[in-house]
Amino acid sequence: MYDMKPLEEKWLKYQIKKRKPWYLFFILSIVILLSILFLLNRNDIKFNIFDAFSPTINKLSNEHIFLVKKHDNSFVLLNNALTRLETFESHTSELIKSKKNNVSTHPTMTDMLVDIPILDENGENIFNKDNDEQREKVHLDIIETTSISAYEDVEKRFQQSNNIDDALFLAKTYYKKGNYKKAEEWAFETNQLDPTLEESFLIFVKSKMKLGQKNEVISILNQYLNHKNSQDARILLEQIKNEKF
Amino acid sequence: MKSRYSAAKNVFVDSIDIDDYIELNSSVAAYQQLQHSMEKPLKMILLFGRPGTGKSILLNRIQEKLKHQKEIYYFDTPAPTEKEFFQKLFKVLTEKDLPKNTEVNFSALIDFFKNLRGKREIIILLDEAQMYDAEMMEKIRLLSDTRAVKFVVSLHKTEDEDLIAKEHFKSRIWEVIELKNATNEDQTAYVHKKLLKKNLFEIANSIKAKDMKLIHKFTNGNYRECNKLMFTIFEICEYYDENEPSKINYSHIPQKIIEMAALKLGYIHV
Repeated sequence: MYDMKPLEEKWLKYQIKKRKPWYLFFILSIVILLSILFLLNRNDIKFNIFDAFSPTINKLSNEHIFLVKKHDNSFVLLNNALTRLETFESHTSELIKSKKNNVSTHPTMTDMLVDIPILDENGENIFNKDNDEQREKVHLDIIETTSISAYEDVEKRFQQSNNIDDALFLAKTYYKKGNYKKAEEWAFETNQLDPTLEESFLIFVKSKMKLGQKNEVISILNQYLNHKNSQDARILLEQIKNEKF
Repeated sequence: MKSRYSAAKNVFVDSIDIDDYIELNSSVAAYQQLQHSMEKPLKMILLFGRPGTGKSILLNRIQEKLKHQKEIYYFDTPAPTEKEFFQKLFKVLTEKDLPKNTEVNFSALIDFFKNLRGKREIIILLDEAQMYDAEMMEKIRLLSDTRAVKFVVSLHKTEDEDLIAKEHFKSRIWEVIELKNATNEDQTAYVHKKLLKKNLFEIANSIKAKDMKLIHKFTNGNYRECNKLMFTIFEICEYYDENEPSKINYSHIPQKIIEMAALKLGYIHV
């Protein structure tokens, strides 16, 4: 009679040996699969990073896109850019006025020293990192990037991300700039993404109004008010009817 | 209590006992071919195939079947010396033992055979003929040339033996019968028929087609190896049945046991 123990142990070893190629194949498959997933996810990581920054960018976009060119030719985003822009715009209008009057009351733009908080990539105030006392005046050239190309960039970005904030930003900005056709389009786009968003709806009807489509606007607003009790829409309708818009 | 596998194990004890002969399609064909060749006026017939293809049992069976019709003799084991071979031959021809301190004179033996031509038709089945040396084979050829005796020479099929066949019998052997290794179907039929012959129905049913495929793979269609493997399989089954019954499945021989037997016999290695 056999002593079965050694034979069973031998059989176990044989099983391990027999399955070895399968184990190796399995492990290799897992490694290849993980590698493929990793490579695919690298693109996602890039997008995720972009997405992580996009709220900050959007927040800024809702105000104004501003870049500050430093003397080393690098760019930084400005915080509270709209306020700064308004200040800048008021400065320039005053400058234009004074130039017209041949009165030089302000320094020229290029020589302007500004004391503004600057964001680094993490949205932190570069100068506030250190003690406020150590803040120093930096010589900066401020370039407004509210040019057409900047909006085109936002439009391109929207094509990729379909971000409602971008669409709303464009609608608002075009409306402010007086490009009512574009404002109407982007407000419509925004409402396509979120039909409940009243802000974009109001831009849409206001743009139409500006484009002289009064009757259509009244009809749209009436329909809207039938479905939703909106104070703003009601006021706007009254203003339009009373020729106060 | 005796295990059910004890009887199954003994079925596969390797032997050339005629009672163990299993008729398979391939073996029936070989048998008929050999019988047909023996009817022809041939001097020598070469039966060859790899070890374990059933040459010995075929010779044994044909001798058993034809012994009442023909003068047929089966030399199962080769004589170690020429002297012993001729003594053996003398005995089957004369039915007398050679007197002590005498030797067979080969020339006299040739003359004796020549005298028998037309009177007796003798068939001698020489198994394991590869063990005869070249000189001995040459003398066998001379005896066959007398046309009084017909030799059926069974050889293992190896390169050397092919050489023997070519060199010594090329011009004289008129018929060559080759036995090939069993196919999976033949081997399955062989195992099942062997078990059923001993009324071991349940055990025969417990060996499935998948198991036979594995057994065929391990034994390469060799009947002798198949007997060895089946014997070992049932020996392991017997052990488990008697000592660890939880490890055995009576309705199906586990693959583990087949592989353990193959490991034991060295068909596979760790």
